[in-house]
Amino acid sequence: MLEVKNLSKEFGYLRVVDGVSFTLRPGEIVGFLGPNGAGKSTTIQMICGLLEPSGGQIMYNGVNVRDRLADFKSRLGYVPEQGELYPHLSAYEYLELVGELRMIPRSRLRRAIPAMLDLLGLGADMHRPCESYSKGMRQKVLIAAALLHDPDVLVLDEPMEGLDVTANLVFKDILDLLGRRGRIILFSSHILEVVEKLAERVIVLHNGRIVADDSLCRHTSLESLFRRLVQQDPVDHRAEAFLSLTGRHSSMS
Amino acid sequence: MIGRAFCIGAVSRFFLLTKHFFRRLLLRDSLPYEEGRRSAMIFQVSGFAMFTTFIANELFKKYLSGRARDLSGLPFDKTLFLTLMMTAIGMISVFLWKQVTLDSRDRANLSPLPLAAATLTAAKFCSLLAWISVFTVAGSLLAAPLYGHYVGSRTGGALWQGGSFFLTLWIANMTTFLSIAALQGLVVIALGESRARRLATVLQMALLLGFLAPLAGFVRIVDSTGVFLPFWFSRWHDRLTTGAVARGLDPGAVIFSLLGACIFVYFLALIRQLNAVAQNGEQYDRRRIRPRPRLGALLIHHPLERAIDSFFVKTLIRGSRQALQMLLVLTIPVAYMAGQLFITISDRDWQRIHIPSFGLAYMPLALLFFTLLAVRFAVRQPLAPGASHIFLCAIPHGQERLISGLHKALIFRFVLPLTAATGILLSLAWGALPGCLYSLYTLSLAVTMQQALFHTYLRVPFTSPLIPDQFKIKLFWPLYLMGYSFGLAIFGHLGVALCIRPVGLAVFLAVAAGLNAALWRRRKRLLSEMSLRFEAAPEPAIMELTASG
Repeated sequence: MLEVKNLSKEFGYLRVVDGVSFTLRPGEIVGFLGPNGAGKSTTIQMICGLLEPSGGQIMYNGVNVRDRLADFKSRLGYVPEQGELYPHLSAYEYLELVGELRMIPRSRLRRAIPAMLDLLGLGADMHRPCESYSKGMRQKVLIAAALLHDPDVLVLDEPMEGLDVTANLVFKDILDLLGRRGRIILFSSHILEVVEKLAERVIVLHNGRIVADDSLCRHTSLESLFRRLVQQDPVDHRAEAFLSLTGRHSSMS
Repeated sequence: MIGRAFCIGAVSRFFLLTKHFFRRLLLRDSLPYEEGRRSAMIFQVSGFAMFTTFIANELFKKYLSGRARDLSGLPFDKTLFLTLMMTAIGMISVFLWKQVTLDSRDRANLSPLPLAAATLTAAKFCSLLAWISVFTVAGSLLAAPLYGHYVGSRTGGALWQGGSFFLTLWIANMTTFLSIAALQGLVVIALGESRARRLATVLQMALLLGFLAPLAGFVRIVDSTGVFLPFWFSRWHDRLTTGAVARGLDPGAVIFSLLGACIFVYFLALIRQLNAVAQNGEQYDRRRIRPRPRLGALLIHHPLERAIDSFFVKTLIRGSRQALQMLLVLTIPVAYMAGQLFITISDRDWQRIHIPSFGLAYMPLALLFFTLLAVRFAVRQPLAPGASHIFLCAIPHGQERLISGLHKALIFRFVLPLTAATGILLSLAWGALPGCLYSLYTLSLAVTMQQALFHTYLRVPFTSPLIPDQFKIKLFWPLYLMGYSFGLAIFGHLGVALCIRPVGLAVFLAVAAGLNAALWRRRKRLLSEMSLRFEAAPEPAIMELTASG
């Protein structure tokens, strides 16, 4: 069980995350939502031990993760929002490096890497350097790197970005399967339909605070929740105001 | 049992990371394309080996039995060799600036993994030592045996002479490299990472100048022993080979204290950097240098031209790869000029500074020529080819404007300010009239150079993908060398002659104007015949294959 207790983060005078608390249970797939700048990625980075919280605690199975950070990281799979790969390595070489740094035996890596890349539709390109990959292909490599060591906790920051339809379906199946196997899964996404289909529970963050944390069936719809949260004016008014600034809206219509 | 397994794990991770960091340093993954990286690495290592072998042979062959009368000149030659080698290593190291510490790519990929900070920092440090050792071995492979052979033939113990010389070179190279790493560390500690990043290019330029400028006045500097680092290595080598104890500070103590201090500062900075990232995340520089938008608006009226001017200047200021390319081309001439200027001012010519002479006249020409050449070299470096669509969309509004925007940016941002600045200095030295006339001459020459260098460049700068072997390097280096050896001498002397003969200058200006008009017409014709290119042109062989079927 992963417990986030009263987590906060300040950058100078700016409070980005403010008293966030929630619990993730094994087997639960939790969607993490919020508008841009809500503090999702900062929270995720703190959960993964990449950023030190200004306040609060993150407990994994009753132990503060900052006290046993290396141990926690060895059980964690993480897909960053903006993944940077080493351009001179191929997908295979990159995963081999990650696997060896995670102390996975080479014999297992030789079998697992091609199988995983094949599954994600990258098998034919796995020996090409990463610099030649498209955004979606890079995302597939990052997903494979996060899953390579069969983690107990999976934290995914916008994992579907740039993925093609096939990889999207495969990835959803993988998440579903991992959930059924009792892994803890937290993923953030901007695509409401994906969250609605995949997550059993959603946590919605707004201005660094949790504004909703519930199982999905209890909400009427995520879209209406978001409309309530982030918009004061109806969309039509704001769109009208924007188009009037460009000076071309009348001729467009 | 668990502790032992942990230790084995940490050791194997350490070796894996060292190998990984070393590969990144050697192959320079900041360079585009695998082939480019490999050829850059081979070029650097083999070029360095050839350079040191040639210099060692030239400096030390006179000490072979029966040639030189005595060994009295040996300390000077040894110090000069060490200075050249340390300068070369220093210059190569300056271009590795970003890879000296853990960069954002390392942090993004390695921080989610279960790695201890100690393993990361130790592996990074060892990879730097391995990298410097590769260059030392390459640079000493023939140079150290040559030294042993030549000097050992007089003193005996050729093997010890060569071996100790290799050891001295290794320590000297390591000290040079780690001094740069420590300086970077000091800046990070003092100013924080984002400010240090902003200052990086300026520091790199200052370091390169610092390395090269003393070479011009080497003979004088070598005597001022206390501040001249290579001298201490030379003395340390003397101590190793002869066992003689000189008066004053012990060279070994000086060297190893410096080395220790550098290592300490480097580790301190690395740990501070890791802590800062854990506290604040990746820091992006918010207060960036902004070129004066009003200047562009005042001199360049068309929005498309203004857009190109702004993009061009901001990229040259902020794009680290582009700025480095400029540094690469500019440093040697600027350092040489600084050295020459120092000699001109401090020497005999000071009394006759008011008489127009080649000593000062060639400087504005050199500065303008190499600046334009550096910009021509830098515009090939792509920024983000994927973002070129914004310019592609602007083509229907007038591709001529995009190109004329580049030319106006070159004139208003480089040619005019540099001519004005050097013109003021020359007017102060020579008097107003010769100074102004010479500036007029320089301006006409610079505009012609700019037109000639860029008249077939029908691209938006920084937008075409770079294919390393495709650039006409055969054309670039001869231009660079010819500019130095013949061009500047001829045009410098001609300028001095013309600035006191206004009629001759008028004829020259008329010829330059005619040439400019011809180049401008040709560019206009080319633009009417073809559209701007955003992709690198394919190799001629591929073009032939395509044509034949």
